[in-house]
Amino acid sequence: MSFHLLPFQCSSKAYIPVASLIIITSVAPFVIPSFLINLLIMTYMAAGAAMAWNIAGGFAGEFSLGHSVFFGLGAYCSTILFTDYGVTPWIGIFVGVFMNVCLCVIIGYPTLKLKGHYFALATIGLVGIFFNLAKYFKGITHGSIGIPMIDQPGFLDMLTTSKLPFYYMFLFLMLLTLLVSFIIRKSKIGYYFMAIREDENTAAALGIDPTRYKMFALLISASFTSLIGSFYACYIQYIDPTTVFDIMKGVNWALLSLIGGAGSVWGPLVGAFLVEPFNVLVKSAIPGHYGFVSNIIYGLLFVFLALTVPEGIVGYWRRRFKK
Amino acid sequence: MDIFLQTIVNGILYGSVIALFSIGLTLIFGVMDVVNFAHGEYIMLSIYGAYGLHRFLGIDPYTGIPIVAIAAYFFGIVSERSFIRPIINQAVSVKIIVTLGISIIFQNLALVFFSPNTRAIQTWYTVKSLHVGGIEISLGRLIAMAITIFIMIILHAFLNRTKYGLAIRATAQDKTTAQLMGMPSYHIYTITFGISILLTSIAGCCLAALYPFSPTVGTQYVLIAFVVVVLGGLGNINGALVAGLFIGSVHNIVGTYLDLTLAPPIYYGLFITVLILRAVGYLEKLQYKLKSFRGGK
Repeated sequence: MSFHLLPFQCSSKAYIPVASLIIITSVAPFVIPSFLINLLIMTYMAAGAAMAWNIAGGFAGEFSLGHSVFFGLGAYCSTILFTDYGVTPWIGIFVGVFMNVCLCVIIGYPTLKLKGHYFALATIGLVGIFFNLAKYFKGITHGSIGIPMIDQPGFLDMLTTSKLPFYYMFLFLMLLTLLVSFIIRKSKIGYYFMAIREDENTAAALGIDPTRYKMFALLISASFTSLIGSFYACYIQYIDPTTVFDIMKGVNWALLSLIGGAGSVWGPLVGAFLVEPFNVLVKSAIPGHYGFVSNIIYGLLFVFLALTVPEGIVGYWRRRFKK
Repeated sequence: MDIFLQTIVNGILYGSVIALFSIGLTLIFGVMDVVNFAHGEYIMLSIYGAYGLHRFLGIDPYTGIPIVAIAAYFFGIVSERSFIRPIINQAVSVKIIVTLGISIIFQNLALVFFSPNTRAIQTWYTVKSLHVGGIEISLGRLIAMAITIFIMIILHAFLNRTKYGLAIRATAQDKTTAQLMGMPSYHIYTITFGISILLTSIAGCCLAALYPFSPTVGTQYVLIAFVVVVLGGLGNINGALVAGLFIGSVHNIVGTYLDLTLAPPIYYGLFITVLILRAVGYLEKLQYKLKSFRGGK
């Protein structure tokens, strides 16, 4: 049985996990202890960012380790506009997306000519550039001191006293990214992305313009990452170059996607839901610098999973159980 | 003018250590086609090794080089067997994840065991400097540069005059043919990785003697190493030396005349540009033009 209400073909089987996800996550804040809300917010953020990465990295094969640059640029745009110019973040987040689109267009065309680890290295270089530029242009970005957001609760300013609105905002962002991933995966565009990923020359020979579609994938991916970055800034209410242009954030999203299964829709979400809560919990449970133990386990998990199931958890599950 | 000369001299001194830790990375890449993201952590571990020798046995970093180097060689061999060999034939993304994962593991192990505090080693040569014609040359750094030159000579001799060196170069050029000629590739990979870590550990000892360090220092060094490796040509050892000196000079020139925070954007920008020019084939075109220009004469 298939539905034709949505712009892609989808069997009813997909609706059950999605619906249950939506219901459970919407109701969750009222039934779980409140200290877990932050954990879930961080998880949704990681899941959304991982799915955004997946659009470029998983579907289109643009293995980027520098997604932090979009995150940071989005965060800085909305925060600077709010703190220094009084522009409400609701507009600021779209300015952030616009800046990221410009960045992609300028940097993307030359950089997308690179493949594999060269592209990954170039994206790392990009993060490094922006990190240092953020520290250097103190006049605009307040440099290494960072920008705290003044506490004036109000809907227009996207500042609130309780975490609940942010819970739903990040949940919404995550579900939105999931929906977009679904749409891309099942549509012609997604097909083109995957064709380019598998064999760019053959795709070009078949009439798919690789440059255009690779750019498109990067643009979508960057835009969502930027949105998440801007929301993050509003949630944490303080940003500085070290936090938002942190390479490890972007690397983490790539790793989460790969663990869950890059190239699949659910993969990044599965990866994020498995790893991120564990990470946050262990970090807060073990005090002092012994908290880094969580990262060791995290690293071990990645190495182990990469060596045993390189296609990710979802890929492995499909291979074994969906004959 | 004096300031400029001083800057250049400091740049070359700094650059020689950079070149030293980048040679290992380019060697691995040239022979095994693996981008070792964990390279920075090997640098960091050898720094701490040198620090440990200094703190508990009173051996100063430069004297401790043979000990650290031999330990590093064996550590490299063990590493290669454990997690590099399984990934050599896998997809690029797997190579990246595994080496990144190892980097995360090592860095966090160091953070747990060595604490995130920044430390430094003080030795008699850290504070002494030579004065040559108005320029001050730090003795510690001069020794590091001498070590680099010495190592380069030995490496050159090893690669070009010995049987193992020949095997490594052959495997780097064409693995299958080398295998057909009787050179066991996987064995060579192991040795190459060991040598790479050995070279890196020597650089680590120099760094321990000269600059402050903490467990996260690996990340910043490995980024510089990537830049050097790409600028010098992946797999090109002499190129890594030249590129290392160049990056060291750029770093110091930008630091003196502009702002130290601007140095990374400049060399990352160069890095990305060179990567793109390589991919587009412009560098080959340039090389061809230069060759034909010379030939035309």
